[in-house]
Amino acid sequence: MTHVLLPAAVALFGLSTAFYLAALWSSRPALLRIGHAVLGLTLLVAAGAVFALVGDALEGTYTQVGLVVSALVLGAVYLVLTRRYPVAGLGSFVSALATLLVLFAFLGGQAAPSPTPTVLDGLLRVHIVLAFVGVTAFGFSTSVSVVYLMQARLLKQKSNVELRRRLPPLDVLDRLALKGIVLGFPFYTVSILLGSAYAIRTDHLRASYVLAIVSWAIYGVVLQARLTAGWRGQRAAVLTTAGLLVVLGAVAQYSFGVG
Amino acid sequence: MELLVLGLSHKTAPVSIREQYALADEALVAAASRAREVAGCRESFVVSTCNRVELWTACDDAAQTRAELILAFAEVGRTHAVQLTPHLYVHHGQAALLHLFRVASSLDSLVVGEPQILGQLKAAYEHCRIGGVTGPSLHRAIERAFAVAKRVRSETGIGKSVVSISSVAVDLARQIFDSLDRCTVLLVGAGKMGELAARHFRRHGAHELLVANRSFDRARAVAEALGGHPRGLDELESLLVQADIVVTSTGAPGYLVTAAMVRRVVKARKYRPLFFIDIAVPRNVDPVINSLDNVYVYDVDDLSGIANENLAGRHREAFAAETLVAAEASRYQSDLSGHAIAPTLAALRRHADTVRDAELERASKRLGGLDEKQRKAVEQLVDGAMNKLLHDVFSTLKDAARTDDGAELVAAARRLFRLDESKE
Repeated sequence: MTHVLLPAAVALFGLSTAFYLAALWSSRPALLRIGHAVLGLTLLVAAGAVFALVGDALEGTYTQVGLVVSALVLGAVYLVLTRRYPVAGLGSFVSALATLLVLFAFLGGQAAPSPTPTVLDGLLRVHIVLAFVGVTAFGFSTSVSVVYLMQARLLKQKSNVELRRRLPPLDVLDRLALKGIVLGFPFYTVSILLGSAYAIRTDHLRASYVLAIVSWAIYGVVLQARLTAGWRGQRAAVLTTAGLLVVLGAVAQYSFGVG
Repeated sequence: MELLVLGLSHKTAPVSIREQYALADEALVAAASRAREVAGCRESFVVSTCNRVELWTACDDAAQTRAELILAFAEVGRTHAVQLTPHLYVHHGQAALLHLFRVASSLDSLVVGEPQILGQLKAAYEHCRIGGVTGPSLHRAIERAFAVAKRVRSETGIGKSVVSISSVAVDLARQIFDSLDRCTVLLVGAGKMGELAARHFRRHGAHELLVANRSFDRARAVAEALGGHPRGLDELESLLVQADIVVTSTGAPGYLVTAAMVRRVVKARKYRPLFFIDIAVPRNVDPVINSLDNVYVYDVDDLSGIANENLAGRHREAFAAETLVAAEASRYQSDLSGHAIAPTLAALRRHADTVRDAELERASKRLGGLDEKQRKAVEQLVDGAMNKLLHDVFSTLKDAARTDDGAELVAAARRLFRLDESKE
């Protein structure tokens, strides 16, 4: 089932992204509703893919499960948030990121089926689960930050009134971005500690670990600056986005087994 | 019953004529009652706003009552029909209906898409309804007009964007701040324009208002009027640290708010967003400030540019709304026609059944001794022939009802089949 459900989830996440993008540029509210419906369906397919992956119980499916669960949670959190906050404009960014994560899971599964050790011990399992909780939260923060940068730019340039109106207010975006980092950072920190312990124990240092530590440092700086120096807005958004790029680099490196 | 409207609007009459028709609520009913005195006028209501005054009636024959109604309308405005006529528009039948739908949908308003007209129309109609001058024909039409207006607002973007400077400023603030009820507004200068903008923010829930002015007494007066707190202009920098939205409208010749000042302020406010609305000419806020992080500056040209863009957007949406309204008007007319023809079709069916029953009775006496099967066969034969004949008549009448000569054909059918005689 995995070989059917994973590509289906990639295609459906991509389709929902297309609908959300169309909704952002067009004034037709029906497009947004269709986007929500497609995303809802995608989440079901992604859940099916997770069950199939777990059912397959193959070596090396842990990373794939983590990636698909991250995408699933991102989509679900977005759908829940649209009921509480005026964040409908976030849809295209969240679903684009989810598409990327599921695509990693799909391609990673095909190109390098078993980059991980043959016997996964408890330490590694917990490390992976916590890392993906962190990645999901950071992924959400980054999606929100990208929209923040876009909205701030439109407001500065005083252009595209229609698009600006469809994007959420800066205040909401800033708050949500901070919440994502605050939520994800502790999980990511523990995951990094466990990952380091595992690497030391197995004497197996990979480039992905180094990248993960760099991304952890970036998020640490963002969090520290936001909570103490009151950083917010564009600077925080840029750094949050940079952090996720490094995280994705680590995930890609880990999934494809390069380096 | 035919709809007829006569009226004056911002498009046809200058304010010197329109102001004669500034009617209070009780006067609306009195004006509508005066119209009801005209022979053939069965129902009426009057609506009076800054931009239009209209007398709506349902009459037996619009062509006959029109002249009398114009005289009555002139009398309401204490003017002469001769002076009034060049500015007056008169519509009846389908054109009147279309006009009603357009007015209710704000397609005929001075600012296309403004929402007030629907409320004004509803209030005026309600007064006249309570005054007992309206009736079923007007009620059906106005109820449909309200439904059409609702459809126009929900299915087109005609009312989505704001078009006044103050509303644009509030709209922009809402794209920066989640909710105005947590925002402090600082009004710098106590001029009329600034006061208007500050009042608008207050009405939209701004949490606190600070008024800073060179003259403290003037600041206090404006602050009292708007429920705010007066401050001296010398405190400006510290006030900028407190405020989220700053409206400037002083007559100062140079920049009151400089880039260096705002750089310090931004740090002191821990990078919380700051929104400047500079409606002063010459400008009070250095435009360079807009390039600073988390600070947004809009001057009067930016605001009016957005207002104009929104207005152009409304006009584009109005095009779609016009199509919707025209389709609704023709559907309503069609429903009305169907409603009007129904009694004739029913009478014709009753007449045919009476003839059939009588003929079957006579035939069964003449033929005698028919068994049940034979009797049923004869009945089916007669029914079949009659239904085929009536089907064409019914279809032609239903189709004709939607056209201009429908009433004539219905009258001809009633005469041909002596429907009115048989009724008697």
